[in-house]
Amino acid sequence: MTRDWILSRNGVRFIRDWLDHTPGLWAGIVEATQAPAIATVRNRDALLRIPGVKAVVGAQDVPRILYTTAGQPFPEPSPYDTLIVNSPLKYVGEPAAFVVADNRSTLDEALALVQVDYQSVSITGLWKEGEDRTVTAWDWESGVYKKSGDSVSFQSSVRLSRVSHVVLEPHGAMALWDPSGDLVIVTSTQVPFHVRRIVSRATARPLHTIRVITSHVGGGFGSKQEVILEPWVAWLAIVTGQPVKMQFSRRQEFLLGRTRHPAMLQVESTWKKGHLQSLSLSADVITGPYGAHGSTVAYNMGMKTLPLYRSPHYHFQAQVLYGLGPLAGAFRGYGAPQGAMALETHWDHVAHAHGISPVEFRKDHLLSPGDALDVFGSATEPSRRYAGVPVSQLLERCEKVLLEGAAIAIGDGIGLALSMQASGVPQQEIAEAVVRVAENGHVETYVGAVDMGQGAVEVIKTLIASVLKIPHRWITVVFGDTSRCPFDYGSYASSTTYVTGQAVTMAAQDALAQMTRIACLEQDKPHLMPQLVDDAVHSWMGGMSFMDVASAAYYGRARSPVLGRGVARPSDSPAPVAAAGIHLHVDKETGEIEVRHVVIAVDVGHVVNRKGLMGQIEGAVYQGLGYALCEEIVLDAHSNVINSSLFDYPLLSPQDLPKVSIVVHEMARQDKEPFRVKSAGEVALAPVAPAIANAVFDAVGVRITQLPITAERIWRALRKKDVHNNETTTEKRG
Amino acid sequence: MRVLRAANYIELASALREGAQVLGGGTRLFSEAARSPDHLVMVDDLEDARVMDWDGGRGGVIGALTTLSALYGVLHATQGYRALAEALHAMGNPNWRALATVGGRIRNRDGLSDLYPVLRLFSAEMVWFDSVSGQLCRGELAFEGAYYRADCAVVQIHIPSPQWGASRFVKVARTRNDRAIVNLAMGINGKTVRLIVGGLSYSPKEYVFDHQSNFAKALCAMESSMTIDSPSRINDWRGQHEYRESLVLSWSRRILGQLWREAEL
Repeated sequence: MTRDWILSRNGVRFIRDWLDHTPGLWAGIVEATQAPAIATVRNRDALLRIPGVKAVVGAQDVPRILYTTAGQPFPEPSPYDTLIVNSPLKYVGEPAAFVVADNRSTLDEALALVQVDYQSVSITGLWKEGEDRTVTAWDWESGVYKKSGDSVSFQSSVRLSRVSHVVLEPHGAMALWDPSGDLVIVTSTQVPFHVRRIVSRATARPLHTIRVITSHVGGGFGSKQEVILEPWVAWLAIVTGQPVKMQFSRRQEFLLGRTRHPAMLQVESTWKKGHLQSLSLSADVITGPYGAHGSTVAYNMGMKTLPLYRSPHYHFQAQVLYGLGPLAGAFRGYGAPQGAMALETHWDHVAHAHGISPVEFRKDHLLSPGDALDVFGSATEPSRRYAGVPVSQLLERCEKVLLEGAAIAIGDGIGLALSMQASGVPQQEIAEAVVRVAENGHVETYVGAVDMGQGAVEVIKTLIASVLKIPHRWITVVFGDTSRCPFDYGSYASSTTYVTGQAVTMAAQDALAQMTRIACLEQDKPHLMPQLVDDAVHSWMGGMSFMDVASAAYYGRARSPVLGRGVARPSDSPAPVAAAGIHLHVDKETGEIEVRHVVIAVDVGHVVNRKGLMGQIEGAVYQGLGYALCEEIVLDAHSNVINSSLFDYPLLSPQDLPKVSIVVHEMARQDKEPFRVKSAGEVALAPVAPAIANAVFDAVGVRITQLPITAERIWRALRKKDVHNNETTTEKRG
Repeated sequence: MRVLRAANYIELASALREGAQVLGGGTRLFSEAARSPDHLVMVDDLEDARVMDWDGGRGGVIGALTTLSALYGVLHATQGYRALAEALHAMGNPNWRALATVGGRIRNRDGLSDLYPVLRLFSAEMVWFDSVSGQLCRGELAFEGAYYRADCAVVQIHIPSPQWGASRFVKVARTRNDRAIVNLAMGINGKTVRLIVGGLSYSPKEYVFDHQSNFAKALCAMESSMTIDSPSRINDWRGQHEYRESLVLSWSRRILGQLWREAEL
């Protein structure tokens, strides 16, 4: 039996299926071994003499057109600071050149023989003139604050690590030529339309001559919102005139993929007689050698966290800096995990300083329905308002579930934390959907968003089925093909259900209206309503089945094919909120942590796909636990990655995972507001790490301000505390 | 990649002399140094490596191809090998243990940190094939044993009858599926305590001391015999040396306490 597609199941094709079963050249990366440096391939001619080697492409062979790898709407807020091959190279592992060969073994042979000359360059002025490494600096302030003599200030800071997405499927892409001479890029991406635009710029090729087809995405978490391989394979296909394929190895995924932004954050709050006067957050964020998503991720560190608390005065500053080491990018949570770690540990710290339980202490200051979400919004712009369960209720419910039946032993600790996310980017995004009803009644849906395992297809089917009142199996969804599907910003920012979902709903409603007109015409009735059908019930509208109406659209009196269209351009971005509660035990002698129970309470509005929702929340919690407890990309003194393999990069395995309880606060669907969904993909990740840190403090009285919260860090903090206590005791005795 | 299935020792010797790596040390193949071996030899057809001759409480012979879960199944039901069973159960996850072999785990030098302390505790002996001499060799388990050489292949492990009244194994890692920072195996009987320490970031060491039927004296003897100020083999980002030393002491004390209660001394 021949299997054409190794990984494919039920029509699902991942990028490896495409690469292994499409003829073409293989491209490989000559990874820089020195940086910062200018690299030149010394034995280029010798390499080209190897039978099967088709091209060696270095910095001198690529267009001098700067672009950004950040797959964001145009004009991107990210700097245009990268080339297909950069010179000078800024980090070890970065492509010094590409080699293209007939097959993988020839490619491996050639890559092993490449000789590169490096000319070291100074780090000074590597990014900009002088020593300024600033990509972006944010400084936002709102409200009025005057410090008085009886006000008290609290400061805290956190230092956050660089972690990997660890997607199951490494980045892969191929570029090939269709018969008309257009360039077709097949890629594992979350943002096909942004890929098309960025490749068009990077290769100086007209946008309409590029088609991007998205494979099923084997895990993205934001890493595939970066446009990394696509300009490379596109340019190599242009250079060779042949199809070119490339996929990262696992090691390259660690070196050349993206990471969460490492950052240092400080929080200061000022209080007067127990009332919050001012809340201030500042962040120093390292983006790595190129700007990519740095500016917007840093922006979200404040914007996704500060509005959770009501304060008469807010101040948010962030400085995004270039630096050596691997490149940071979009990552599930998109700044919120860093911001939440800083702010939620700060609230815990201040609550303890006031001698009040952290839950009680937060209550009076938490976001309530109707409160402004854009706390820095200008007076002329409509301010978004929070709609949902009062956050204090969510926190209380989380604590209640956590404490129910919990046996708290010596060394145990309880910690809570909150987070907030958005549902797409407010006032920015658009998505279009097309619903076409074929003459046999099959519903074909076309969307530009991508299913990357988050269940987008299931959500889209559910929304269409609920409008048309037909079974899911009568619906197919075609996604992520820039030539077949309508425009969409892509699957990121937790936007698919909310933004694309709205477009799909509108398209289905449009199709329903058209079918209703046809059914009325065929039956000479003024008004008809659809009723739910399945295989046993054929009477969908009046006396006609769904198939009858579909057929009549083409062959009946109406002769009007059904094509519903919906365009969503939401001005709002409903904010989901999550509360995390952690019960853990700390071994005081070794510092080891055993997480015993995680409770996550979420308000995600109306639930469309319950199974998908639970999967998203559970997955986010586990990713949050890894961020909190063990994950870290470690750099040596020269900013080179030490642990670039799954052997060395510490990940939690299933046996490390504690009991997780999910509490969903579900909002009833109301007629006046038919689309009250909120996003769910990211919100549950951010509160996990601060809840762990707060629980550790509750357990053993030391506050760990650096991630990951390893046993060794706790052990050191406990030793320091013991020394301090002993010294204090000695002083008192003295 | 060439993969040869050795039907006998002659074919195995030939493959090893040509630089083939024994397929069985699976995790080693993923390591940075040998992630793409171009020549492998399988030893699945060697009868000696498939043997599983276990005589209850008197020990037995374990073929290198015995899976960790199969050996655990036998040991779990046998009195006197608790530490060995605990070590086998502490590695990887159930799927992995059902596939990984004892020989592969020993062959893998990093993995040695898992099995080494406990096999050493039980005075296990190794049988390996030396492709240079063309002979089967037998000797005590040692950290620097000849069977780690590229031209040798582990064939069997001989485990003697249990000599410990009580024994325990503890693996200390950053996460449960991670490589061990510290592994400890301890046995206690008559008047003797034997403690073997190993781990990815800790040089293998062995301590034997007389407990004199007094826990405080035993603890004192253990702590005074442990040369915890010696430099570690790897002092890397997995943990600073002083923390690892602290772990060794903490867990050694705990195991000693547990064994003491278990042995009812």
